[in-house]
Amino acid sequence: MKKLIQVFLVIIIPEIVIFSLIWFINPDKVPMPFNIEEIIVTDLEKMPADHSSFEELNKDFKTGQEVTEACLGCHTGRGQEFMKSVHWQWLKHDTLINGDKVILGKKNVPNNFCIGVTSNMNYCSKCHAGYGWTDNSFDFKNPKNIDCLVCHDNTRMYKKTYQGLPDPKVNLKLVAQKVGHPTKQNCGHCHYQGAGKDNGKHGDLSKELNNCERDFDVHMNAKGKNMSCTKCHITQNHTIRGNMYTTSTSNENRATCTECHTSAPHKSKTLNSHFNQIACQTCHITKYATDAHTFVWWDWTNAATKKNGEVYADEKHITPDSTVLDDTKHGQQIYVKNQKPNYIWFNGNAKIHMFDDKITESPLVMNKLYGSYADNITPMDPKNPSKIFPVKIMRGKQPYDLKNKTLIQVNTFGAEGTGALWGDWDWDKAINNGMKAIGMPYSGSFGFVETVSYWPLNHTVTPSETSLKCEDCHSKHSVLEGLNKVYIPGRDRHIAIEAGGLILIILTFLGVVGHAILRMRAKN
Amino acid sequence: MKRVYIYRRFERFWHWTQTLLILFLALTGFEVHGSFELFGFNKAVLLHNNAAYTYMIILILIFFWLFITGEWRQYMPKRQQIVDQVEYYIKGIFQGKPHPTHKTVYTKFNPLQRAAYFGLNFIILPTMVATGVLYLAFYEFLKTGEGYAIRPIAYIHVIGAFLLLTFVIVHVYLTTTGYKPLSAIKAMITGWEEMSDEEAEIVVRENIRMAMQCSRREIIDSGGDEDVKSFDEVLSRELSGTNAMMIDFQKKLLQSKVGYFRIDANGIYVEVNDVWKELYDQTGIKDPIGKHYTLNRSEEDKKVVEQIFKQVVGGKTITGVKLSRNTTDGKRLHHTLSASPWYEKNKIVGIEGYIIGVDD
Repeated sequence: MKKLIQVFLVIIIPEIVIFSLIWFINPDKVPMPFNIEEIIVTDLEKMPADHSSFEELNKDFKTGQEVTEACLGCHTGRGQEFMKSVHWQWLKHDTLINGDKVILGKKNVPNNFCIGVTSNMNYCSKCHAGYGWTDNSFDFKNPKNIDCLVCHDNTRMYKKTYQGLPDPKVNLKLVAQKVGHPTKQNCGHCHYQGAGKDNGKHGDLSKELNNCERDFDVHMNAKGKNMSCTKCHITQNHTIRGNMYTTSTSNENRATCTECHTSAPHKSKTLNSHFNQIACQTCHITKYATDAHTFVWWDWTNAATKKNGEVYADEKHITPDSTVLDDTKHGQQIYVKNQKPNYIWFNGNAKIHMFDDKITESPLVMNKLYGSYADNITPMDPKNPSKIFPVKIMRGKQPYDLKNKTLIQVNTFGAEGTGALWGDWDWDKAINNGMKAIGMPYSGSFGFVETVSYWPLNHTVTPSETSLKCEDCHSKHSVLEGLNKVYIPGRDRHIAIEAGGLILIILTFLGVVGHAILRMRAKN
Repeated sequence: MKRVYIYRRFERFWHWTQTLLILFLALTGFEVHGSFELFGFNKAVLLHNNAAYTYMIILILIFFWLFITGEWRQYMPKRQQIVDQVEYYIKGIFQGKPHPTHKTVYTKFNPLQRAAYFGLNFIILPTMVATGVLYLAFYEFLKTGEGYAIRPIAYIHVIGAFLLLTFVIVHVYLTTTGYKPLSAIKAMITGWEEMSDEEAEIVVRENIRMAMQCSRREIIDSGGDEDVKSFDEVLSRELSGTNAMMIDFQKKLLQSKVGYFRIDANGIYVEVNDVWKELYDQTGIKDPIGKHYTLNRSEEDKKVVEQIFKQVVGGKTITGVKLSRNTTDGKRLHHTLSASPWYEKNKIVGIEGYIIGVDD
């Protein structure tokens, strides 16, 4: 009895104490740096002045320029300010990782969707915050050409058409009287419609955001905070925060999650410790193109070809979520829904392939996103180490100059007789037009090069319940398939160690069992 | 069958704490490694870390204890008898031969165990702790922009885990090679190990020999101080001294039913302990002090003890001689006797020794 008590005291009770401590103590728990309920999104939707009462706006405006003139009549200096912006210039000054200065933007960067804007401005300027940009003769210094309404219309009735001009049906007087801070609808007017349709280019931007549920986007949830784009893309003096990853080369002027959420936003230390390796987006944007299809493939090779002399379009569903379109206009396109992101190392810096850069690889990477596992461990810029980012990958084939080894600008949009591809279905004319417009030589022979571009996903942040769970990365079925250099517990193992360890244990076990059997036999 | 005290309280405590921690770390560790699903990755990581912190604290305590008590010496590998031990496991054990080495409080490990535990305590566990700490500290280093590759660290940690599992299997199996299959495990729970009478005799003798070595050293060191010469006294001094190894050794020794005696050169009992008295109680000898050692012995026994006395006084040490004694009601009881000369100022002035009853 005494012995039993001693055993109890020496062994059983201490073990119970130790293991209950191990089980119940959670040193991983840390308080949140903020209370999410207390976050107040400041409301800027109301204008300080009722513009409908202003004499200057009580006119029957015939053109957009007239409205702009009226705006600038009071808002002096704003025009000069806006004309420096990317929304106006479609260009900005940026630096490469080696320090070289570059000027780039939508105006001069090729892409692997519609290829490029130059020579197609009649169409593309539909999304320019200005009036009348049709060709290189557009006056970027004339503030009257600014389109104030596309961003400040609060009636949701304003529309732009070709050359960036207002749709004639729009009641400019009404719109001008109802101006206000930019809403989701204003930004979405252009940004939802990249490549011509919802989700088309980015895969994470569509008109669904205008009025969405919590499951679709926690921030823009219409029944929740209902944040507008400018809540993150903070704008001051018409300079908008949040550079496009696909057209900027340095990690500057970003709209970041940490702005509000800090760099330790979780209640778990372990989760917070992922901050240096994993971008917020990686866990919190787990799907894209859930509401509308996004392009993942555009092969121009068979564009401008006809079937039996006729313009044609064949749409086929490969799977419920993916569709392939073969047609005269585009060649071959594949668009898909409900996609899971790809993951890459990315430190915010990029190299953009320009029209005058030589093609040295296939597939040609249109926007080389810098980043690597090594740059995560010992980063070039310790403030911005490479992190794992979710991206949409866009692939395709597009024309290039066989002799000059450069990408080709194609004049795609235009009426019959202008030489545009979609007017005359003639590659040579279209290329000549396009190359002339960007001032580049064309050797006369072209081929098609496979291209790839990366589109970091930043929008449609979903609720934490739907974010990635530990096991999504830390298991054999890890979503981080391609990233093999980083060691992920639960995913990675050394085959020789596993096999060796297992064999060792099996042999030991057999040895022990064999020894025991021999012993028992000897005893008998 | 006899029981001999082998494992102290703290040893037993840390043994079982380590056992549970190692198994628990293996369980949660291999889940984190992706070998199976049990708690869920999240919980497994938390539990593994908690257990790791606990183990580190326990290890600090253990190592502190090992070095303070000098017990670490037991873990130092030695070549002596290593071949015998290997031969025993691959041959002798099947032929029912006895263990070539004996487990005592002072030498718990056979040469193979020494090698294994040395590897475990001084190579594998420190490596696991080091790689584990590097694992835990990884993000802190990463924050400073001075990260390191976690892959080789993880690989070493996994190799260590496999080796530990292998150790556990062999270790558990070898516990069954004691006197009875469960003897060794019982010993680790209660501290008392079951042994055959012969084995127990040897082990207790070994324990006492060590204790006597200590006490004799004490006597010689004290320069033959007359006040400090009795075995019990020296033992008590040892106990109150710094040598924590000796803690409750005397008590356990007495619980092992070891009778102690000292006889001067004339054959007169100078000192006996309570156990001795207890053992001789039935023979009618209540208090032998001042009496001759042949007291109340049969003629036959008288000759034997006289023979032994002569040998030991002559400088010889004898161990494990089986003797008998007659009770007053005519029964015959048995004990074993070990004795060695009793020195004072480098001169033999008598004999001292101990007896262990072998009747159940």
